[in-house]
Amino acid sequence: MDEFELIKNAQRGDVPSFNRLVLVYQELVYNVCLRILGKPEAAADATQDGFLSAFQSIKQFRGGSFKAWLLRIAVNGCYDQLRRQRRRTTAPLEDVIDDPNYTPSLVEPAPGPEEQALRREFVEYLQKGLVTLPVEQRVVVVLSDVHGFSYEEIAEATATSLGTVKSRLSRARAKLRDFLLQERELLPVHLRLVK
Amino acid sequence: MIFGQRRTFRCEDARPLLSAHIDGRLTPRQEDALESHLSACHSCADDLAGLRLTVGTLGRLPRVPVPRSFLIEVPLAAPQRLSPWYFVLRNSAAAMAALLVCVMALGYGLQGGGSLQASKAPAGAAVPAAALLDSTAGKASSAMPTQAEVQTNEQAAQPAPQARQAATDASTMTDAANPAAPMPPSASVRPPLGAAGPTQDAGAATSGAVPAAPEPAGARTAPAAAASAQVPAVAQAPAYGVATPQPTALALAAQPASPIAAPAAAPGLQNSPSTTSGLSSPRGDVSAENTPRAEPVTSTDSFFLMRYRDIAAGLFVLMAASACGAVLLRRKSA
Repeated sequence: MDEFELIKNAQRGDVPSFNRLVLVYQELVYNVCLRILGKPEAAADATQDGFLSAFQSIKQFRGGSFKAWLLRIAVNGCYDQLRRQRRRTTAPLEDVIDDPNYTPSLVEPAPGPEEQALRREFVEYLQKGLVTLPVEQRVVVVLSDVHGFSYEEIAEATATSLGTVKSRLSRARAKLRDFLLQERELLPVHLRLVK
Repeated sequence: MIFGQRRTFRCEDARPLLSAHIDGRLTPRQEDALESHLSACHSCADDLAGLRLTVGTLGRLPRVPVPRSFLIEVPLAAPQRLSPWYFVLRNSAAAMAALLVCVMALGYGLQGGGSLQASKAPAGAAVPAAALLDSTAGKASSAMPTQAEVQTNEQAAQPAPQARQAATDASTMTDAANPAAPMPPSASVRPPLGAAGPTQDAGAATSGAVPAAPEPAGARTAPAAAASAQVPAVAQAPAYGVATPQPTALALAAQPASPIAAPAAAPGLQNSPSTTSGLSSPRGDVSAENTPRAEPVTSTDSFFLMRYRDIAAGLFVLMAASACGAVLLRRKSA
């Protein structure tokens, strides 16, 4: 059964069909939420809320990129999560990553422990850099550079125009570049920028 | 800017295009201008390199496996949001169904009761007549009966006219003032005076026994009405107390055949009309008491009898339309 049929069945209220779509997209949605929010627990909540909202509103899906439609719901869930975090704490978003409860994301297994440690530190550093970005720019750069979405898909997922996507992406990349250059020694050797 | 002179492509013009250049989103003209600038500007070239590495670094972020299942559980599925009109249509269909059942039951009840009432008087008289009559019950022929048969027939026939008259009275719409006339005054055929004794002796005509009392003086009713055992006595029943000529035996014999009238119209018999309105006799009272008293049919009942099928059909259509609407709304909401 292809995605189109699964969507049609889900629109008729068939939960198993929708769950098959969940199995296909849950890792993508979770990782997007994780890179946007920077916290695994918040990312899991946003992912679950996103899928629930998607099932409840799947009848409104009128075709096009289901992935982009789904991510739009997930991104809106991330915005809600960030608003809740702002209400709970007065700490700036940049300090979220210094939360003692924060656990670094799992990384791919490295050949050695030293590299693994470097990688873990690298990932943490990169995540920190993402969190310093404004939410709108963060969403665009995560979708584009972390997950390889096209400009059109990003525009659909964020409900913005292509020009806005280009502008936000340009500014986000420039800021991240400057951020990474500040702590160049944390980067892997082959990634350290030589200026 | 001088006409025809190309504007110098500066770093401020180039930097906003670097990101789109990485993604191949520049127009050919922009691409040419940027390439030309980058070949001459090392600063912008370094910025481009930094951006490329940043994009590459972000793309190397590992995918994190999901910490748990995000499958939707059935109880968490979206609840059906039914339109309020669904409940309206559903309840309307139920109400129409109930009304339909009531209308049909009432219609059949009235129709059956009316026919029962209409047939009771002659039937009530026919039963004893049939009981008394050996072979003439049900026969429409006007064959010459034997004397014994005549007497038996007369006896059996006596209650019939009175009972018939009672039915006539019951079916008369306008005669509501005398719904329970103790004595059906008209259309009763009396046996000849000579046959009164055996009639009394027989006594089997209990339900419709005609008194053997002497003929009352005064108005006499048309036995023609009594000759017919049909219900539509309205058409044939004369008004109470209206004197009608006494038919002869031959006239009676010429009447349309009926199980009751035929024996009564045996040739040679003198059929005298029975009592008139207001005149009563003990036997007449008995017969009146034994005669089933028919309920008068009101104009409302008559209208309903005539129209109940139409009403039922209309209710059925409304019920079906409401039910279909409710089903469609439910499917739409699902």
